[in-house]
Amino acid sequence: MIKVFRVYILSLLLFLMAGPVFASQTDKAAKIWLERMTTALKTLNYEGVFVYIHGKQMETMRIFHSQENGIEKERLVSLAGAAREIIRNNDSLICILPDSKSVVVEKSRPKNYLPVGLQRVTRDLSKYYHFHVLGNDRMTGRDAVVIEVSPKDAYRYGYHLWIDKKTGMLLKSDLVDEKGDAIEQIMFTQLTILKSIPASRLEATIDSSGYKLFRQKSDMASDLKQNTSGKAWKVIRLPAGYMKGMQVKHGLPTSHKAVEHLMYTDGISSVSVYIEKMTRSSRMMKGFSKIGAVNAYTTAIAGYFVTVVGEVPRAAVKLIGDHVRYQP
Amino acid sequence: MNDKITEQISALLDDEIEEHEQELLLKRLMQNPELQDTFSRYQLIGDSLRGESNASSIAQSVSQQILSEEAHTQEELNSSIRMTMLKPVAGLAIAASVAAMAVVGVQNLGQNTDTGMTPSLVAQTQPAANLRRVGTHWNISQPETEMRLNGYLVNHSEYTSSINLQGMINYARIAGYDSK
Repeated sequence: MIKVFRVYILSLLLFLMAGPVFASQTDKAAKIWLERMTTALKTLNYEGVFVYIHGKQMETMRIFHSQENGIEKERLVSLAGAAREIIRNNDSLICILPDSKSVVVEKSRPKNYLPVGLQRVTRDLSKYYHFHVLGNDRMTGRDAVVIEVSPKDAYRYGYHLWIDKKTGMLLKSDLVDEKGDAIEQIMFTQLTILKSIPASRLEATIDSSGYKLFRQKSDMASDLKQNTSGKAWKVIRLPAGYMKGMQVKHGLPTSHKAVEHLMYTDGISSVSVYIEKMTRSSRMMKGFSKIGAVNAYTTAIAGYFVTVVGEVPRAAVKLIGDHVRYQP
Repeated sequence: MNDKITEQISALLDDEIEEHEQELLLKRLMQNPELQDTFSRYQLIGDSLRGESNASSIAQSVSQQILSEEAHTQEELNSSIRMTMLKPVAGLAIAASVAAMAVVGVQNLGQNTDTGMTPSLVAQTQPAANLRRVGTHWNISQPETEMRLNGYLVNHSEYTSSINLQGMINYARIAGYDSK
């Protein structure tokens, strides 16, 4: 019963700590927990099962994650419905989709490609978010600390994060919208931290021979080469705090033509703008679309489809999408 | 099944059970698939009657308690696959109940403007079976647009994985993607 009550105590704490008087006291501790969690997600060897809930949907997934000699490998397997698998290693991201009998292969990206000035640790995130330690709770059978990250404006989402005190691992995450509703939840129902993960656990179990292969058309090297060219596309107005992380042109497995990609981030939230030339036969629905907490907004500018995608509120994808300009 | 236990289950769901009783009840629940069925049925009916739900918090504390008391063996790994097929296995059907309750808990996840599930749907004993058929996908229906959006989403996830607070777990959207 006590555990049930904790939820109410948490809400009470949330209420009490909402005032600015308390903010500064827990602000720093919360940020330290966040960094610890970020490191744990990248460096721990773990396997677990989590549920992913959004809207009326619930998906169950098994995850394997390893990091050895600086090389991260991950595998995600959908446990209900089609046995989709996602495998990520140091050079590729492979999505095996048995329901559509297809395999999508993308080049994986270096984790630290962002300019140092844009990385989270070096940015003053307190301008755009409140950070709080909400208190203690138990999650996945572990002692957890609960951190709240709440946005100061309507252009980003907030998070409630349950972090394992012992390892720093993320145990539960609620993505909270501007109304304070959790619109996407992830919760580990089982988690084991291991010394190492056997290589076999990081390999696909699906025999994908005969599946249709979608492969990315350019490699990372050519992405970088093109990084300096083709800057005709600009976003002339952004929500406060968002800065350009990169601008590249690359081939996507699902698009016929090269796609211009601009990425913006405030250090926590990020938005991508994809710009793709229309062809006579290509069709793309304009306006808003969403999947889970991801919003997308498509417009047409100068014969191009411009789509803004990100785990940000509608207001953010719209503001950015309405301010994309072609200025050669 | 005696009345005392059903009373206790009801008390557990109403959050009116003594702690020492709760412990004993959870032990019995873990060992008895029939009780687990009762538990989830009560839960679902109660929630739909009240038209609201504190299911997720109870479900969570129940699942946590079970997780902390059980050893995580390979057998259990295999079992959790069966769980998703909603075939109650002893000591595991509770997990299926939790899954079913999570569906109800979902109603708590905001979407105030949404009509939500109707009580009659919620009260069905296997809501998760209905749930699965819907799947995760874009809220639009135009194959070419969806395909392109998927390509963008995979690429965006890949480029932003170092920034994103939830790490690799974001690929859950893609792994959960239902091509309809």
